[in-house]
Amino acid sequence: MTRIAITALTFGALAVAMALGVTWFAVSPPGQRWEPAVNSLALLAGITGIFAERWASQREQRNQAIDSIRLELARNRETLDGEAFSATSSRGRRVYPRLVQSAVDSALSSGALSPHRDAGLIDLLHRWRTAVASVNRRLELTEMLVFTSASEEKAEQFHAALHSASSFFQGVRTLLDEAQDALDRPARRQVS
Amino acid sequence: MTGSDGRLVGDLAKAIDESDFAWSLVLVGEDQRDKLAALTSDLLGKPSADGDGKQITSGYAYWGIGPTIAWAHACADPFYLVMKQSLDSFTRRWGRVRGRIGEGFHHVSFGVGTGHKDRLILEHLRERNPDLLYLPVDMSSEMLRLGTQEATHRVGLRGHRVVPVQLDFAITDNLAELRELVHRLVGDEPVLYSLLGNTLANFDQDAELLANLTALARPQDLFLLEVATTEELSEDLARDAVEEYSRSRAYREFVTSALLHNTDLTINVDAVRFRGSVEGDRALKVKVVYQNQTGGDLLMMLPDRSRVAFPDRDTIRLYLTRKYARKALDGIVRAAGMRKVAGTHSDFAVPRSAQGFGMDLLLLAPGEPESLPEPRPDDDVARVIWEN
Repeated sequence: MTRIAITALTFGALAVAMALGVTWFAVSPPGQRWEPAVNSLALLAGITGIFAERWASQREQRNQAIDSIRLELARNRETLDGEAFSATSSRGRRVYPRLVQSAVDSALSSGALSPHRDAGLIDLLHRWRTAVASVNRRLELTEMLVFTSASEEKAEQFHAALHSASSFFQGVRTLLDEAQDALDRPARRQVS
Repeated sequence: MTGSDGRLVGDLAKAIDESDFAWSLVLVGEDQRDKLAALTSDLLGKPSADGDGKQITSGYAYWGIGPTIAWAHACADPFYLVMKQSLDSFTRRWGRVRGRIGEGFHHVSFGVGTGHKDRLILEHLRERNPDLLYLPVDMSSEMLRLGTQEATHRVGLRGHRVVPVQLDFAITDNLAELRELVHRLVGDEPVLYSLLGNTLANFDQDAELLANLTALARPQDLFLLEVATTEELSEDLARDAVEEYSRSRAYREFVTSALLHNTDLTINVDAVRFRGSVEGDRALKVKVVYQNQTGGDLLMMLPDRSRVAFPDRDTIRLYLTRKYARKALDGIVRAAGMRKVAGTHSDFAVPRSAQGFGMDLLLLAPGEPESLPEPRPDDDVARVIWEN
């Protein structure tokens, strides 16, 4: 409530000052119009400057968010392409590296992405976030069951399930492809 | 080889390295007279209205300085979508597969192209192998010169580590010689072979060519293949593919440049016709033909001064290309005796492109796909956790 009152007071004062400035300009004799003219233009610049600064700040925030997501996805790509997740890797017990999602979380929670312009991207990132959380949880379960089992065979069974054609993991790779493609496309394509 | 021969080779390498002049040391494996005879023979085919008689086969489309320059212009044309998108998106696609390439690789590039893609590959490989040897292979010496200069620009490769090879790699016997040459030069060290820019699609016997090229790869080697792809196959999409190629005037000028260079025909680029079709369950096929639309019979003179009739409505096939069905790629790779190590796909990100057209970059290794054991009934827990 206080915020709305302060905003209304600020813009109200600027509008009244602008109106007085214009009136002053109109009623002043021709030789004395410089001061009201300068005064009115300074007020106009002040009003438009507020919006221009806001837009620039939003744009910068968005670019920073996109850059960090891009870097994070590239890191995740390296993880997925790495030895730990290779079908030909060793089938013994191991602790798997995890996928990270902090940049995506931060971008979604900070509101740096525009709900209108980036609607498609936001939807994709929500799906990616859910998939990452899910895959990390499944990796935890896998490690827990493999390490607590006395049988070496267990590790092989999980290795086979992880790399089977119907594995959840394949969907995660596809989703990562989609997310990287979406970020590499111009903004107008991300909306569709 | 005597000691003085060895000194001569060493001096030559030193002279090239130390000179500011753009020397290139090219190994010529082709007799140009044979190539000319083959081109002439291809242009003596029977009359056909569908491009099934006279033809200019793949390598000859780039043979000579005229076609080379025309091709460089076509690559810069934003309307030549396959090439533009292929070049624009290659950095990203390469970035996704290069992590699977280990240390110490040399590079053999079939069809060097503009050299831009090879430069990205060389930059990556050289970081992991300062003594990298680069062998671009092409039938056209002009293409070799053009592509190799761009590929090695600011990469820091010493001149004698770049060995352009002028050779028609569509000929099986040539590949046997190339294999011996490469293996003698690199020993047991691994080699990355590449066939980029949808070059595979330009050959009539594309499956056979891929099998022949991939046969060069030893267990330690890898093969990088780039092809244009489509999600679906239909006559409508074949028409879309035709539409895509026919938009570019620079592309029409490129495909007719071999004709301009090797015959005395007066070329009319509006007489270039595009015929699209579905090739079984594997690809959309586009034939680019030049049709005699003058309303009368013509006589064209070939490079050997022989005159060949070019009747009204007869055609000369100038170029062949395809867009492979993505679903068929695994089969094509398997038929060539290879398995996919990594792959990336990129859609054509332009509104004027048909839905589902794109480029695929595949990193292949020799051998059968890894067969994972089928989960057994007692694998339930693992399956429950990891199944979708």
